[in-house]
Amino acid sequence: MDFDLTDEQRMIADTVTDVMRDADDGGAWQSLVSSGLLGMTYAEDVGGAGLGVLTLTPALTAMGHGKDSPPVIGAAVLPGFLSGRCEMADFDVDGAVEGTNPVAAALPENTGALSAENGTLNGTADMVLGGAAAKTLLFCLEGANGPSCGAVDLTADGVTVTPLPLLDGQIAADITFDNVPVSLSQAGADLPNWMSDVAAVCLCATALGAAQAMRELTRDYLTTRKQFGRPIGSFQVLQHAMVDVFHETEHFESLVLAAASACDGDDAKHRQRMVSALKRFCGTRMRAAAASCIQMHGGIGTTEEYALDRLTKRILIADMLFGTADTHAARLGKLVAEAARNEEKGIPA
Amino acid sequence: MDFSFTAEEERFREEVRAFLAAELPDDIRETHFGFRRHSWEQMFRWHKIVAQKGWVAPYWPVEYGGTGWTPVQQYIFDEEAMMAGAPRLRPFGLKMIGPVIIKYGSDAQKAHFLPRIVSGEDYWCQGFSEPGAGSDLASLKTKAVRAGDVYKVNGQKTWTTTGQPANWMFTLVRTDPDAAKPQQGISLLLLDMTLPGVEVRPIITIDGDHHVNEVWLNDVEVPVAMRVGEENKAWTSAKCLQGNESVGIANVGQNKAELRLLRKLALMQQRGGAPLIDDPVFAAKLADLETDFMALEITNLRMLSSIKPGENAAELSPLLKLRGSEIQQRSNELAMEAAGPRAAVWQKDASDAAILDRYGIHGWLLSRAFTIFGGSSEVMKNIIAKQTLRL
Repeated sequence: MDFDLTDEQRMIADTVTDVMRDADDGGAWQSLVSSGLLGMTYAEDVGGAGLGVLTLTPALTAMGHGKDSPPVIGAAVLPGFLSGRCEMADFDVDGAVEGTNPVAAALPENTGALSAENGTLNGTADMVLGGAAAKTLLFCLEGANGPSCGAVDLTADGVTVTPLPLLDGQIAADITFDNVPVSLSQAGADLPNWMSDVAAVCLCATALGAAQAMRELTRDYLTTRKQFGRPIGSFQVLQHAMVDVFHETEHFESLVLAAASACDGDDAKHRQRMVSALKRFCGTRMRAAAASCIQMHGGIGTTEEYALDRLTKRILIADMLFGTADTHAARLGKLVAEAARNEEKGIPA
Repeated sequence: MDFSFTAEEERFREEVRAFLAAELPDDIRETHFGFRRHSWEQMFRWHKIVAQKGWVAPYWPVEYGGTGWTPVQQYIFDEEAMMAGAPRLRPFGLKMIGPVIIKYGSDAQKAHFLPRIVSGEDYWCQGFSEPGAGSDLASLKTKAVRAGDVYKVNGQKTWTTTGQPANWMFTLVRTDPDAAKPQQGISLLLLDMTLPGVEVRPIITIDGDHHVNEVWLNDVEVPVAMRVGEENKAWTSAKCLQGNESVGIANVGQNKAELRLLRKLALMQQRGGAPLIDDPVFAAKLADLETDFMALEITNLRMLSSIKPGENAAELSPLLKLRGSEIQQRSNELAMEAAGPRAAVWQKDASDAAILDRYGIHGWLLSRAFTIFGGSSEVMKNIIAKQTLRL
């Protein structure tokens, strides 16, 4: 057991922190591109850094502290992971790593209404993160013959991209395909699930940064805001609410790190348990923590110009995408029941 | 950053497992897996077996009987012992007064008491709370007036857990009634429960059982040599006593073992013609509990692996007590729901007693105390607000 950041984790997180701090509003993406950070998760043999999920996590958490919400997860992290795990014909990976070929990834959560039969794509990829700016879409879907993946040119005839600005400032897109030719490759049986789990962990890692920033902001507000002639943080009812937020953020951090580590491991059941626990925690306790921080602030906490606004929205994005708190509770419940049956038979978890 | 135990830790785990397989008596193991609570006799017997092995006080300095284990090793021992069905080692001697005697006690106190705590020859209880001094411990009123070589002690202690089998009590008494602040003027005494003037009266708790007592002290003559540390300055040592526990405070091992029992119960019980564990409403509640437990388990390990040699409880420990006790309550609550209407049977030796003993309505009622004793949740939050959040 070693919970200290490795040198590599610290270095990448520090670089991201610097970029996020120095970037103008809306300018973080360009700074990340010029700092060469788009290739973080692409394989080393295509010019990426080949980072694992756990190694990447502190950098995503650092991003969650920032003012800006660059579309890094949708437009770099997930495509990088996907491209390294499945054959992608006709994909300009060099351009993707360098930032000249903007990409996005459509995962099973997005591809439910997409069909890839007889070499053509039809239907809609739903709410694809980073989809509005992308020129190439990498996708991964559950087909009739098992999971498959591929890359498709979004400038081709028959493609319609409808931008969907999200609450945290990212612009996703619905992408509709009408008989668009594509070459498909077979994907590993666990790849779609793995990608969805990784996507959930990445969003939660960013939400963790937001939660840490929210915790600091609220604590500071309690010490500076005065009512009834004293700092409001001297009132026990607010102290205890603040302790709960402190508390949940620590537990959230534990789950983020453990789920990230599980994504790097070979045990798919363990990974699913950890990721579902993480998402359930995000959608119940962290959502409540964000609400509590707004409540502790009073009126100012409900305004758009105050920093709490974007931090809360970052947590809500992680809460709502890649499986709701309820779908993950259902998955976790089944996994727990299965583990209990194995336990009774003497099979270790 | 690495979430796996080291090879050395895994080897240690195997050693612990081998010890438990060989030495944990079958009746004690079966008590746990049969959903029953361990008896006093089983707890004391187990203490002696672990003491024989030399593992009963791992967090003590090696010279007094400690093992030199890292906090993670201590955790592994606790987890393995709980999962094997062993009872918890009672904390009053081992975790509470033992470390205080080591830090503040005289040489004579160390030489006499420490070996007897380890061997299990003495059994301790805590005399802190009073009818008028609970969370506000510093307002305690039990008086100790010095008369030559003894203190004459008069007053009443309460909520004395396991006061009935204990032969010694460590107790806080007021030795200077005129001190400027309530925290000043308090001393820590080691009190022989067989002395004249000590009277133990049972308190029956809401679960119908006898866990706690009132202890009345009428002109009890305690030798001055039984005072630990300086006169009137016990507040610091008392705080050390309360803050001592870091490894076991979240009860991770026990929580893990109880969650497994809960899952076992949910497989056995039926709802709507299928095992309860497959009922979506129950499964969702169980999933939430498992989620909070997983978070606690990892947060606990994060804390343990951050403790440097010689350091004590880290800043996260009150927070772990808080969540650990809530999780214990919730697993008792789900177990009560799992037991179904039979949970309402009060008489434990009626039919189905096995489940009721641990997991009837009794378990839920008993578990109310978990967020009260050892520092109520509200007091824990006050501590975190002040010490960690600086509010």
